[in-house]
Amino acid sequence: MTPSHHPSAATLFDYGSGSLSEPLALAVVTHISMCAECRERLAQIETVGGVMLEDLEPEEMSPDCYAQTLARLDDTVPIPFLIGDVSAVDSPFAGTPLTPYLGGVGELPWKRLGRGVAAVDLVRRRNRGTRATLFRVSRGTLLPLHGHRGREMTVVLEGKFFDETGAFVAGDFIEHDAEMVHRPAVTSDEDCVCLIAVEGRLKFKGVFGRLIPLFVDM
Amino acid sequence: MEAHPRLSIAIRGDGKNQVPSFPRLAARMNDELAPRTSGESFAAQIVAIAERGDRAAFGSLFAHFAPRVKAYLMRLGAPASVAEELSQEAMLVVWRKATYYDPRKSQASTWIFTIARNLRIDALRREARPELHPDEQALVPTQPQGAEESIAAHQYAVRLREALKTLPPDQAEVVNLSFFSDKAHGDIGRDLGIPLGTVKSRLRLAMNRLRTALGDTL
Repeated sequence: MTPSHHPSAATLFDYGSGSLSEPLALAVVTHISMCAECRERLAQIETVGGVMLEDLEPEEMSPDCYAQTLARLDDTVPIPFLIGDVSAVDSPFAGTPLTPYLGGVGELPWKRLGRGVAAVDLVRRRNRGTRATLFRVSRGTLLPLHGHRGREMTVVLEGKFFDETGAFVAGDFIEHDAEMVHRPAVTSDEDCVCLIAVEGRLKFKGVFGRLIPLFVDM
Repeated sequence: MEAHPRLSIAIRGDGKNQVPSFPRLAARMNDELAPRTSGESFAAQIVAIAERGDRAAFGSLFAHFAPRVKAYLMRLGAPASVAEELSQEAMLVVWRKATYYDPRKSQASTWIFTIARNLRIDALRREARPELHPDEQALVPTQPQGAEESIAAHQYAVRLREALKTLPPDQAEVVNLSFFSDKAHGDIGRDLGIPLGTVKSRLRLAMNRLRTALGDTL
């Protein structure tokens, strides 16, 4: 299975140069961990970063700087190379970039948000009001029509969903800018688990949709 | 209080009062400053650290890269003293994580760029940096690598550097700003007074041009 929806070049540049906030960066790197093509694209961008570093005019270092660093080498233990992460093999997303955010092993602390929707917060309202949340949407659920105040990035981890812009399967990365309004839905054959990172609160549309934020902290 | 996941990159000694000075080492190191070594031998030096804790190799990497990492951090707004301290930290990470460096996969400058980038996010923005696990093909078995792998990492960077020089000025400008401003492409567009779509297409065109130059037909 190869993902067919990828981050834009602009978003990969944002990730590769280190200018994405942590929740959005988590969404991008989770896709990259599932996508050989984007690993290649990222490697190119990071090589550009290396070339730019090489070409910078060096800044003068203070005279005792190297001696200080050498002295600290003795306190610095090299890390042996380890293959695989044995600390969280029972976690559902073991060995992925999500692992450090899932906290411990075993059942995830799903919190029910409404009919057919449960969520686990991974990173919440850090810089720029962004957050990353794991969503589990039951089969056959139609989500409310909503818009965004900032960027939204979604990575499908299990199952599939669709909206006005297309149909998406595991590994796919979907990004929307602030002006996008959409109504995602999950087909009737299986549940869908997604990582969703957003900037700013969602804007719900319609009479029913406008009531949702009163009940659900989204 | 929310939990704050952090990368454990900071490596500290026991305190400033314990840092002795090494005048002779510093002098010896100045002798090693003279020859400008190529990308390939920087890679060999990182490998020498991994294999046998080679301090002379560390010295020549420090002489070349620490002043450039300092310059990179200053370009991104760090005061000189902070930039110098972080460049020392970055070189300590090079020492500590040398076993993770794969000369077939990346150029020394690329690898050190990613270390400096992550350290900056960690230290200056006080955010964690979601990263690929070292054993990064965790979620999905990767496809066989493309033609790039047959190009030595060094040759790859040389070609990329050439390609960067041929970018039209408007594309070069946004590529530059994505590395040397702490801003995502949306904010870069606002600063330049150009629409979001224009920034995105410039970065896409830049990436296409680089990929074409690398003979990548993905």
